[in-house]
Amino acid sequence: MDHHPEIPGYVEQALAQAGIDRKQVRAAAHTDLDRQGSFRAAWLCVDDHALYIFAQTKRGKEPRRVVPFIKKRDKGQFFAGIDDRNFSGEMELIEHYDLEMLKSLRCEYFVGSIAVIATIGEDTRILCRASKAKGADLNAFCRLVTNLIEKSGHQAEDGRQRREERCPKCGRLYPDPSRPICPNCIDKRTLFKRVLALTPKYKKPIAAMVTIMLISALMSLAPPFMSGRVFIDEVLTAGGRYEGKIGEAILITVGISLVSLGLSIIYGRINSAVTAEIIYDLKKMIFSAMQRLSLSFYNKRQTGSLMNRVNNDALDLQYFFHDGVPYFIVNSVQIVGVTCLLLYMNWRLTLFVFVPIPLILFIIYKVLPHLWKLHSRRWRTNAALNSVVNDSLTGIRVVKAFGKEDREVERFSSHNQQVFNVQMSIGRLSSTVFPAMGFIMGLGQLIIWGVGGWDVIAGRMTLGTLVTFTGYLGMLYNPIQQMTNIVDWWSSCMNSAQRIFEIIDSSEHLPYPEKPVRMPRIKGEVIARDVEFSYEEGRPVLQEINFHVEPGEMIGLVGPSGAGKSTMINLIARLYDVDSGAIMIDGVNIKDIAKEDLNRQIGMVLQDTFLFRGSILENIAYAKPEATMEEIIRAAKIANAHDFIMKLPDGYETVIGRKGHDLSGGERQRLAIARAVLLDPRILILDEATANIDTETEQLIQEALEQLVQGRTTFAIAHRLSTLRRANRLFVFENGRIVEVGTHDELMERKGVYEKLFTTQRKAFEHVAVGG
Amino acid sequence: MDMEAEGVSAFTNINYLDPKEAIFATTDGGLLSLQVGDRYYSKVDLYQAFPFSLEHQYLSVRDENGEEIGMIKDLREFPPQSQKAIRTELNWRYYAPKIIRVLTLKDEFGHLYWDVETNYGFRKFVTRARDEGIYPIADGRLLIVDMTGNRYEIEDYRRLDAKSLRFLEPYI
Repeated sequence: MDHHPEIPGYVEQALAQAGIDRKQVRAAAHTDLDRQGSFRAAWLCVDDHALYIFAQTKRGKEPRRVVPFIKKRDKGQFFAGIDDRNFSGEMELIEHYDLEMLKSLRCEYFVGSIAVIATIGEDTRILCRASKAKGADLNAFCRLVTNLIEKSGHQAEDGRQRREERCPKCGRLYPDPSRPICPNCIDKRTLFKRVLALTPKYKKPIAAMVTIMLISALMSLAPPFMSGRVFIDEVLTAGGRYEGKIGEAILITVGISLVSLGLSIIYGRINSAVTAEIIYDLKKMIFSAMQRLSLSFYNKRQTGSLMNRVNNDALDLQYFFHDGVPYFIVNSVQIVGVTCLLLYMNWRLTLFVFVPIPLILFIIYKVLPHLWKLHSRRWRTNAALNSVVNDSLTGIRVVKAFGKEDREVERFSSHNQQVFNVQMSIGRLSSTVFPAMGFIMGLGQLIIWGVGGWDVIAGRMTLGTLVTFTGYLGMLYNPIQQMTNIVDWWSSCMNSAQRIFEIIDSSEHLPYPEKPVRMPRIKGEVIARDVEFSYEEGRPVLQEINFHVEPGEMIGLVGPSGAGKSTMINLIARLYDVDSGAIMIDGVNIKDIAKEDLNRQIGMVLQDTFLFRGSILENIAYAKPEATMEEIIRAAKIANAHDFIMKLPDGYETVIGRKGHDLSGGERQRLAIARAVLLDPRILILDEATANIDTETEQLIQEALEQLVQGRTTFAIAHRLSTLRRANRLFVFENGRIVEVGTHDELMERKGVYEKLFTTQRKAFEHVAVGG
Repeated sequence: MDMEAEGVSAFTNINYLDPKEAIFATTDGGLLSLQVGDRYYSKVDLYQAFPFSLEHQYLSVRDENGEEIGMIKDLREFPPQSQKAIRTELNWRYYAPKIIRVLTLKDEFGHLYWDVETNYGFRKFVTRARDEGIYPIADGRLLIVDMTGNRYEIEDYRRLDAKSLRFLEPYI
């Protein structure tokens, strides 16, 4: 047990002052609230003898009080409340408790905070409070202390280190506390390289696109030159080099335009092909990465935002390839090229060209951001409006049933009004800004006319040069304006790339061993040993689960809702991994069993049967696409589904949901059973397979299930206890534990939880039956 | 018939705690205790039914097993001693520092990085992007939930200083 937790210097000091050997400290945890609720540091430390609480001394300097210099302070430290590294205050021992006296230590989670509660002798007290950011650490600390109290000797899996909240490099808070990734410190260059590496096959077309754009950019320099310097100075002017050769001049210009046209056609074609392909590849990549992730990843996120990722982030990245990079190169070449040309023709006049640029930049940096903000607000109000429409149309039955049409119209109107308002503001602002910018650029033109005109009259410059000059002006202002967007574009691209890589790199898929145990035919023995599980830190859903199920046994899981029954079967099917303990099938830990062997031999029939778009045939064969038609019919017969399927006009090829072929709850359930029958699993899981179904259908399903469970290990959850009468044993769940095990008769005799459940239910049914 | 009547009343009757009979206190250990008649609960839990609109009313008082002992209709009807104990407990359970001003608020990398001053001191935290994390709960009142589940409140954003408002404005 040589576990030396990470402790910052100021706590070590406090330990030394209190005469505690730092080497003996088994664990330490940081909390961030004092007893009044203010953000102040406190530390819990434990050694083999006692639990110590340290708090900031009154003398201790507050880590931050000076506010006016935010900017300076902000550079490096994005910290939660109190920053360990820069903390200059002192800590002192305020309380300590002998471990002998300490009976238990646990975290209690409230809506807005956490309390660490100790039972000391007969007394129960709150030792300290913390914000929820500290939940995981404090919970681990409490578990460790509990182990110490119980002197169980082993540290279980609790010896983990304090989790960092901040990026050690830049001091920013990690956005997701469970994953130490700092978006600021991810190397953007490597990100850029990775994005490029995503799509090596586009290297050639993109290089071709860039080349074409460069040539077009160079060629676009020609027309102003032709019209000014050549046409006016040399063709129309007496004594010019090409005096009178009007036809030739026009022909050359037409030739140049034709080449440009050809190039832009080629460019457009390559571009559209590449764009479509890139977006296809990216979406596919994101989607398949998502499919690998475990259910717990999905529990934490909204489906909507995930769908956004597939669609929008892929779109953003696509811009990177087909717009961003080429435009960036071409614009820079154009800016540099045009400036050089202008300087070459008349450097003095060129300086005047730059006069309006500060004004343009001012508008771009000061005014346009407002416009982008309005645009994003429009996007959000529109999304809100859409969801109102979606809501009320999906719920149209409820709306009609309660006669609330007017209310819905009102709800719609208020959102519609917001969209209208934003739209108006956008219109007002953009119809001011853009003409103003045009005006400023026009001013630039006028300045050149003025200064240049004077030069022409004074004979310092030819008329043609002046015309060429003004022609080039637009070619300078436009790219400058576009280049200012590039910063925004770059960051949004990189953010999308980062979000995409986050999914691709996510470790939230269940770990499979490199050399999995192959189990071509599972016998069906299932053992749970000390299983614990929670979806959320600090809220255990299952605790101390132990059982041994023989092959072919049928087990009924009963208990009030929320007792942990469904979670139990999710663990048996390995939709989640246990937090501690193990589930073994035929003596092998399910974490070691090959995924395909496990998936093929565990079948689930769930309460909410999800049928995919497609025919009945496809839905039954979902888990076994290679099944023959005969196998499918046989499976449907066992599931008591064959008869109703045959009555449908398109038989097994009826597309679900089309032409009013919507199936009833019982029919869907039987399709789900057929699906499971076809898979022929060794372990069968039935989660409320007969809920929400009328008695007659239940009879049919019950018959089907009885056929199905033959010779398989079965775990069945049912609220209606009578449906479990065939079970060999019943496990009674309460508050995440198995509280009773036995046959129906044994449990009835015991007069415990089950007996109570069963009698109340029977009474209720009798009541319903009598009352009609 | 009797059973039915009884059953129905159990559903419809709200068992309100009598302010005179139910005595709340904070124990030495910082827990909320309750004495009702001759029953003593050394630790009771409090839940607000309407945390956003009626924070002082309809509080469910539950024992350690989560069974409801009764409801508090309006805590302001209770004697000052009880009231103080209840308020302290509520304050911890629904702990949500009030943001007095926003020092910086940056939208970076798809997250919002906040630096604020609250009635409990300075604090930095991160919320998920844009509107995920900022919830309008009443006219001008905002609830902010950070990535770790901590809550913050802005009582009326329109009454914040101009600089804070400028930071917040794009997200409301």
